[in-house]
Amino acid sequence: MTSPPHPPSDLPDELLAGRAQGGDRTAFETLVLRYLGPARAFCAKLLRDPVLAEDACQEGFLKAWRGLPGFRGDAKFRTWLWRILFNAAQDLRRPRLEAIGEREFEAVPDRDVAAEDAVAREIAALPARQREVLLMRAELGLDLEEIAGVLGITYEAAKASLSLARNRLKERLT
Amino acid sequence: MTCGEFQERWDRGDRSPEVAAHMTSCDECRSLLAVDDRVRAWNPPVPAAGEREFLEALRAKMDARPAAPRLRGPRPAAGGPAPWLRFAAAAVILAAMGAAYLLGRATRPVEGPKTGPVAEGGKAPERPAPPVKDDEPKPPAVPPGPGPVKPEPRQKPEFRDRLVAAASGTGREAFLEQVKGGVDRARWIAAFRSPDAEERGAAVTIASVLKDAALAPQLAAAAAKGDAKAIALLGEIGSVESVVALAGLAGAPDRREAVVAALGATGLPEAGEALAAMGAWNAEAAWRKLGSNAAPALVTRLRAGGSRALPALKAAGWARASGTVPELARLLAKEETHEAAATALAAIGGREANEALAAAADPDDEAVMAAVKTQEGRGAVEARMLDVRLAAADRTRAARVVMALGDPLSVPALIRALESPDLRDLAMIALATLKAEESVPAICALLPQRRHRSVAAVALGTIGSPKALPALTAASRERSFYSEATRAIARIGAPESVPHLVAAVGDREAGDAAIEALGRIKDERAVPALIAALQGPNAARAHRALKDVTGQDMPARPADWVRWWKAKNKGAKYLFPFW
Repeated sequence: MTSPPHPPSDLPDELLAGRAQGGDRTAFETLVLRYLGPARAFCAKLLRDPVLAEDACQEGFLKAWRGLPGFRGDAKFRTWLWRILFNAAQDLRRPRLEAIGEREFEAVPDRDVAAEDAVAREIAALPARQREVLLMRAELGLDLEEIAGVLGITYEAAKASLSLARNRLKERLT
Repeated sequence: MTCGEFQERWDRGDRSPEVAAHMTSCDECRSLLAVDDRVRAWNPPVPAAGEREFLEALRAKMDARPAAPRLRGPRPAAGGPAPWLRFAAAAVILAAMGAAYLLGRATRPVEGPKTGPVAEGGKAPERPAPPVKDDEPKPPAVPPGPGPVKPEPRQKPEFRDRLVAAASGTGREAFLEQVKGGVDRARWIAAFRSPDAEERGAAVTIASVLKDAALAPQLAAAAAKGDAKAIALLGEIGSVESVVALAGLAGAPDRREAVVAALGATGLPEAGEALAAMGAWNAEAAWRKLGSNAAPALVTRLRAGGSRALPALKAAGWARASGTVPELARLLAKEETHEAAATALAAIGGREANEALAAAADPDDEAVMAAVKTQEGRGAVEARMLDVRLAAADRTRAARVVMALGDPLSVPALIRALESPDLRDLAMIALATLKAEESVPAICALLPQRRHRSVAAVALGTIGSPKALPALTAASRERSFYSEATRAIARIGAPESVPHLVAAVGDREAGDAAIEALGRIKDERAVPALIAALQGPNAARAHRALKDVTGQDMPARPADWVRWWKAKNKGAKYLFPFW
């Protein structure tokens, strides 16, 4: 059986979300495809494990589908979605954070210390909040208000965390 | 602007010219924000599955859990008989046959000739064939003959039988005449509330023939007792009374879908109000049927805030919603409805909507900019409006709008704007965004101007045309402008600039850009300089560039590369002019 065609991919998020709320699965899948790339990259960098990242994306989008009736359009759809995806990633990350970090860096001892490994190491060394804010800003392109909304923190806290993270990385990487 | 202010505005998504200018001029901020680029450039292992596999796995999970946003069964197809109709017809026929059988047993007459089909319409055979077609008010019902005494049928079953028969087609005309003339009308009206589903359904069927708006309360009563056809009939009648009745039925979840469809079928503006009150924003078919009549209700809801009415506005047909554009233009000015109105206007399109958007468009305004960018056919309007505005007071704003819109049709106007000192920087950035090659000579002419040369260099680098190289190379001879000009040359990345870039590899400010450009150009003349850079601050970048230029995958050890380069160029006299 062929699935019905997806709606045009240039429709705004909110329109697609509205259609998805009415049960239009193809509209939701269009949204999934729109955000899948950034979501995977973000989760991969946050969790530093491709398998966990995939699980987080699956769980996050599934929760988004289930939670669509509760989306009232008060915030931007993408802010709402990132909050769900981030929480899904957090749920997977909490119990295994340390082990994952160690495992990854032990797994590549014979490589030259290339620049990207240094970035990975320094990001991993950041405090959790700073790391999250930096990844949201750099990887997802969220602005400070959106980051504050996704993380449930104040604007000032997001701003301070981002500044600290950048300065620390700049210092360590140069 | 201080660096702190710049960073905050940058991180809030502000890309105004002041912010862009600070970004261009402040090395400290540029290097701090380069951290973001490093983070983006880091490529950890990502999930290997493709999008299709991901979707398939997700679909399986979505199917596995009863978690659809709305538990709603599939709608029946638009054409073809509804299932209830078949059941109702079968029930009518069975009831008629049963009644005929029982009456036949009770009277046992049966010698008389049959004057018509026995079972048709459920008539008892002893009655005259078409009892109501005759003008006699009361035909003799008891036939002569032997047999037990036939009980006199009670009044109510007799009416019921006639009603059911008329609903199925037998004696319908006569029944309708009687009802219209007032005979049995009261009993017919009462039948809408009957606990007997068959009788109720027959009353509704008769109503479907008459389609009288005054029947709305009766139909609502039948619908409240579960008669789905009554709901559909209310929609067909399409009166204000039927809309009111339907609105009263909207509370029950099991009737909601039928009520929504019926409201759409009325095609009345009042139905739009009712649908909006129900929050049926995603009932596309209903909104589509309402078309432009949905506009008043939807505009009211848009005014109330939020974008939830947008699916409905879309389904109702943006462009056909006459009178919507002025209202949306007004809503565009209100913060709470700004985004929804922008999206709607962009989807409506056309000159009126375009002009409303252009009037409100601000490059800092993500909602409007996103809406306008997805819109087709906006270019001509925008270009014309720019010309109008350049002659008006808000010239800067006009240039910013065009810059953010990125419309190629506005290039001539932007090149003319280069002549105005107050618009020059904005126009250059806009032209760079558009990658307008035809503007290169005009921008090159601005390189000698200290006030504008930084922006001009960035613009030329962004446009990427080799035509700018002579002017940039000449400008780079001034030491204070060397790095900026070299960065632009590197960004253009043309093979003829290799000697200049090789010389710039060791430059503190522009070395990184030069190395990356050489990696892209892939000219072996750059190899010695890149090997030398393996010991400098841009070692990782130089290593990547070396691998790109030579195709060799060796570690970043200068000695290895020197050995390889010497072996490759045996006999050459000067291999490393920089050492």
